[in-house]
Amino acid sequence: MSIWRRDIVSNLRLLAGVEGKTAGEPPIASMGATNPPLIEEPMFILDHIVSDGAQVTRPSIDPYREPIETEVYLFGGKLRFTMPIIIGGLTGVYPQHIDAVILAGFRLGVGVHLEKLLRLQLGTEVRGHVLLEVSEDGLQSPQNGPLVLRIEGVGELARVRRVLKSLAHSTQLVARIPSTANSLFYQEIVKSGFQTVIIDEDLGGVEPLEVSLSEADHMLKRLTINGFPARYLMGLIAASNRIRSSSDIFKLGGLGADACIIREAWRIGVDYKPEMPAHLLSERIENLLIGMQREIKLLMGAAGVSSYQSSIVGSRELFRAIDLPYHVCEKLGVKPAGE
Amino acid sequence: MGAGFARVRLDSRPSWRVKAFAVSDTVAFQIFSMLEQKARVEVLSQPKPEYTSPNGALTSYTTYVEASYEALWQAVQEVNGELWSDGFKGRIYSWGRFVDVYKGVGYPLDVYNLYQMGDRGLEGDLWIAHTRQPTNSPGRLPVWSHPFSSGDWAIVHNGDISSFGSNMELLWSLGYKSFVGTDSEVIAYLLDYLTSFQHLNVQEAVKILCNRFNRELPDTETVRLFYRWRGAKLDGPFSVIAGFSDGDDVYMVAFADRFKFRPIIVGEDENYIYAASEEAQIRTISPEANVWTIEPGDYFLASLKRGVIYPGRTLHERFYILSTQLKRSAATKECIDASHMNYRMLNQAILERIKAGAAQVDIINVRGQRYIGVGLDCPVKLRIFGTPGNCLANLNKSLDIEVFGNVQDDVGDVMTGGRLIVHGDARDVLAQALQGGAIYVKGNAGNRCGIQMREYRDRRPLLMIGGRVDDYLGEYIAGGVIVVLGLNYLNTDVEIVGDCVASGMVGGRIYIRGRVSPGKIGLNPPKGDVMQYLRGLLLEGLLSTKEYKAVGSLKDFSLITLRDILSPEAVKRVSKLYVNKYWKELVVEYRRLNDDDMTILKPHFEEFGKVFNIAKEVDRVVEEEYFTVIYPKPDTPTRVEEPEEG
Amino acid sequence: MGASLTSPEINEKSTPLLVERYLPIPRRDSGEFWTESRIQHIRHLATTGKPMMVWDRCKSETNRILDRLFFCKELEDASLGDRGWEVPDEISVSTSICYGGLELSHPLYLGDMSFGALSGVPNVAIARAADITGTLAGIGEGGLHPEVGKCRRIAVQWASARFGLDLDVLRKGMAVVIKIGQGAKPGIGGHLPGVKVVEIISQTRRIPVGVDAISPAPHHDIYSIEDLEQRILALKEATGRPVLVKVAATNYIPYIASGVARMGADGIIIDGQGAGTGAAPSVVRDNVGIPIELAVAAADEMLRREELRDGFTIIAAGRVSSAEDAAKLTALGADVASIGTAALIAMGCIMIHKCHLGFCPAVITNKITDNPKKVLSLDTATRWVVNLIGGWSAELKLILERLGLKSVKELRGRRDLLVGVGLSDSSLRILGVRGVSGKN
Repeated sequence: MSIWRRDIVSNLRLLAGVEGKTAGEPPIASMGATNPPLIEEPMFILDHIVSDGAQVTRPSIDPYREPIETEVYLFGGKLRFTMPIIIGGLTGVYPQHIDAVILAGFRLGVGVHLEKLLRLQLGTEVRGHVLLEVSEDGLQSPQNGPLVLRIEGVGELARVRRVLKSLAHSTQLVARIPSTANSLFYQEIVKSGFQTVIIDEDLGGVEPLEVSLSEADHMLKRLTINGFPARYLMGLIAASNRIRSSSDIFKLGGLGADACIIREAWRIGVDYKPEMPAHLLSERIENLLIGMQREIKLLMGAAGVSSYQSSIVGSRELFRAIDLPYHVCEKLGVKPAGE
Repeated sequence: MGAGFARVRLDSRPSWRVKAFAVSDTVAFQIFSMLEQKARVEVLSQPKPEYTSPNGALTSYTTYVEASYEALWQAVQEVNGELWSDGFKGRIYSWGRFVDVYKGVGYPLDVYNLYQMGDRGLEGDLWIAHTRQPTNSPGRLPVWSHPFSSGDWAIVHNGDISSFGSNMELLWSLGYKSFVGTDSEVIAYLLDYLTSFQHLNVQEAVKILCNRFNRELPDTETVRLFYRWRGAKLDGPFSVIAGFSDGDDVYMVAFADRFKFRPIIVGEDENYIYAASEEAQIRTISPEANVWTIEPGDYFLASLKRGVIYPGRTLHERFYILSTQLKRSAATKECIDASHMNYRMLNQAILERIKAGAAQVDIINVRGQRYIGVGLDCPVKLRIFGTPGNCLANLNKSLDIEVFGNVQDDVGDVMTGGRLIVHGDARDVLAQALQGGAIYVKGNAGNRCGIQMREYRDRRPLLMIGGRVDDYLGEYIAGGVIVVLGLNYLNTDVEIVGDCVASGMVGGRIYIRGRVSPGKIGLNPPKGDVMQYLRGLLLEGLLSTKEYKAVGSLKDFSLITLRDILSPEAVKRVSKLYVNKYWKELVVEYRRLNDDDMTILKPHFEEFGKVFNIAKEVDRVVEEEYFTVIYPKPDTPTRVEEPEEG
Repeated sequence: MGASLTSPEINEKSTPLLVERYLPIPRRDSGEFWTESRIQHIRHLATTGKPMMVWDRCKSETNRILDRLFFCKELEDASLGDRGWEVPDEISVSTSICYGGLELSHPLYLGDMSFGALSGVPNVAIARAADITGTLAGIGEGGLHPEVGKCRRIAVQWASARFGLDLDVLRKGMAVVIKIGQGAKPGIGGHLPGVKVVEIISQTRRIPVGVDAISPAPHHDIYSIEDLEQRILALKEATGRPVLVKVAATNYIPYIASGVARMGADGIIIDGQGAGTGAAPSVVRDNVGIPIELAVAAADEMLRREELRDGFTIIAAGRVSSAEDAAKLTALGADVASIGTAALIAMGCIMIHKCHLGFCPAVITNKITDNPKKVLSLDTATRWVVNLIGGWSAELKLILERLGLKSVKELRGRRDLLVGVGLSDSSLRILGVRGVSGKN
């Protein structure tokens, strides 16, 4: 079965304005849900996780009439994204579209992850919002904006640490690593001075993203930088092709991700085609992001939460697992429903 | 059911008073010997049993120890961690030099008697009392009762913190090892940690917890501090009253959540400073105290030596009236004395007077009785002297109620007719779903006034407020008229309304004296997000630098403002951030009242002036002042296409 | 008849076409709980009023936790072969119950579907069916439809918008329901656009024609358990009726249930994830809340532990599709089952999930106009619902008889009669049911 169930694809396209007439608006449905794990077949751990609805002792919040904050900060508060979404997976995107995607992200205050330096003609201001992947050599030349170093194995870390120690300038450093819960990885990353970690399932790894993310979040909370829990000085980002929707992003947030990199989801949502006009692509990306932000606000409001980074990120108590075995629940730190 | 007290006292002894609940003497001795072993803690006295819970399950023991705070804190974590995982055998619940906590199961008076607090002649510079209905924790044992204490902090909390999971995560990572599992205890731990170990001052710490909404992007240093302590921010409904001492002074802190979901009121008289969740509680002790509420997301700070340091309102309004003076002079002789009546007895007494043919019923010494007048359908006059409790005049059809005093929350809910006159202030959620009749308030009113008011056929409700109001005035309003006069703030630059005025308005009209900042009307996206978007348009050449700078220089703006500055194309683009399918275009006018307005308002202005004896002042305001008039733009249906129903 | 019901001021302009037959069930191309066989079963009950089976055969088609719970007796029956399906001629078991001073001849509540979500005739049919069968119908938030108002066995709803409410309306029902949340969209409000506020909607909600009708997400007078108590007592003070509180099944449901009980309510309606809705944001419908079976088991457990269970009623709602579902929820701790979607299916719903578009082929949730072209036959719809309740009750009796119980009251909390097949250890612990691994 494809992970891109028909209703998932349709929701993304309704948001982006490819289908329907209410671009940017969370799609409406009627009668009983058919979502996994109880009706549709569950494919991932995420499919077993549900979010809280506030009632009686906590009022829910109406995101259309009252403020709800979706912004997240990275790099100690120096970089502000308006929502916990980063656009990635630009590798297959035509060069003439890259600028349009980056600019759409910039306007909405959303980050973009570039896996390699492409023909980038954008000014330094826009560069500040781009997580740019560089080689170890590329680290040497000072750049505006965060630099991402891909680290695929524990073995590379000692060398990387030496390189970073030798850097003459200060940079916003990001490590992109496979989906792993290996504590050595995180110890080294903290010691090396990375300020943000991207756990990227598409780089491989033995654990599902949900498990490695949650365990990384907890490990970083136990590790310290100058006596202070490292996690509160660092950013944690989840990336995978299979992050399908705002609800996936929201649940990964609950497991510890400050933000998520979406790849195939946005390309499916905007119905990406090489020949599409840049302005259409740009408009659809805007619609999709605004729509996903509204969906996240609906989920937050339903849970009686008004501030994403402080109340959702790592806040496992707001979530419950449906029919997951205890040993998985424990790894995630999420209680079974009914407890 | 749980209850408890805390006292803060400056001249306490300099050693730490450690209090623990334990199932037996053996466990108590074990706790204190563990304390000694775990850290450099010297136990100065043997644990003394102080109180046994009614079911005999847990006894409170007290002892005194000498240690550095760090060592004591560490030892408490270790001891509680071990004991808690070993069933409910015991727990250290208070360790302070100046703070002392007494808590148990039962009503406050039960706990007071169990600890023999009266006999012991306990004295303090600050007292906190609390009673609770357990919501998210069982509540069979005294460990779950408030106050919660950590070091020299003691707090009581009303609400249910939705950031609880996040706050717990932070505390775990900071080395907290054992929790009783209620959201309230984290508040004590966070405040203690931030002040004792991070050396933030009380105000800095409380501001982080309150996490007030910012209409402006905060400065870099605040962002950095709030980012670092994001796990300490509180979300969801809460009102908190806390006592703290640093050894030099005693502080009283009270704070409310950013939506002001829970009530909190503070006050002072010649001798004391008060904070409570209902005014009636303050009035019980001090009938003449000045009282006022805290703004949404703000805090109140006072100290023994300095008095009120920060009042909890940027505008320190202390509008109040002396209800007791009015009471003596005005009440008729045949009045009902509500001193010792609960709400049922009181409503029954009113009903009996009405049955006996009374056209007017006077009630004196009203103090917090709820539901007054609920279910009575007859056109009589009810005069209330004192502070009626919540839900006054709910579902009112025909009563003409006049209150000589302030009223509390949820007054006039689903009132369909009759009249309510308040000679003082009103608190939150005044006139919710008001559908008919009139409500006049002489003083200020709180959060969410006149929300979802509506009209139908010949019924057109009216709400007139003489003072100012907080956020969400007229949220969801679908009909009827709201007038806010701000008579106390004439010739000042005080804005007489809070944020999100008319958010979700679909009908009716709102009149506010003076100019309302455009960004306060409706729900606007964060200013930073709009500027970011415009920056993008600037980089793409869709906006001139001049236009960009013109917007940037504005203190406050809305989509209407942007239309005056930007090109139609740029407005169309940036509208995305403002407009959604439920968004309804509002008309905002700034002008004098005209004849059309006066056809509806004139009789109410006259009546308002007459009942409060301020006719001249009202006349002058109506004649001379400018008003901000808000109503939905006619013939602009919302984009919503589906019935969001059932 | 139909025309006069959609508009109390009889409109003689046109006679609408009466719908009295079921539509064919469309083929499905994606996951669905309300499978063809479930719809067929309900149609059988609704047309005959007679039982069709003892044990629910449809449960093998879906994967709810409830579908993987079996009465041990059924597994024994299966080992007996066909003999297990024999239906005895005479059954003397009782399905009547009493709560909060209300007598129900069947443990069924017809759940809270508003006038607005449904198009009028279905609302009246449900209310009349409740009167005829001695059950109780919740009227939902759309105000009191004049014909529904003539029925006795209704529960008037106090929701966040208080549409159409005043003292007289509140006193019209046998009970008052404070609606805090619903299973399909916990924490979400509603918005009926002005164009849909036609004359009849305007009358029942008491708002002008053409003005949007908004239901705020929370009750702005209920921010705490003490506030809820205040509202319960105020409504009791005003009406003298029992008060039920309707909530969605969410994380803290056991605590909420014990809070509701402690605050003086007569019962709680718990609405599980997956329950029906006229319109909800997909993202919320699909990701917020927990299934009813876990919620009921957890709430019942907590209420017992806190000694609050006696005299308090639990009504379980959300995907209750058969008498066996209801029986299992009862064994997990519920007193009464709520049926909503099943009643709609009895009235002809074919589950195409298009209610929010205002076009309903079965004219159940179609857009309300002052002059409809096609309406559901009230007599037929009423008969269908009455039959459904009769057939359902007969199947429930058969189950009770197989279990060797004399009344539905004896079934409550009998978790020992159940076994979970292929459920996770965590689910089994919450349910308090022993498990066996594997299925089939």
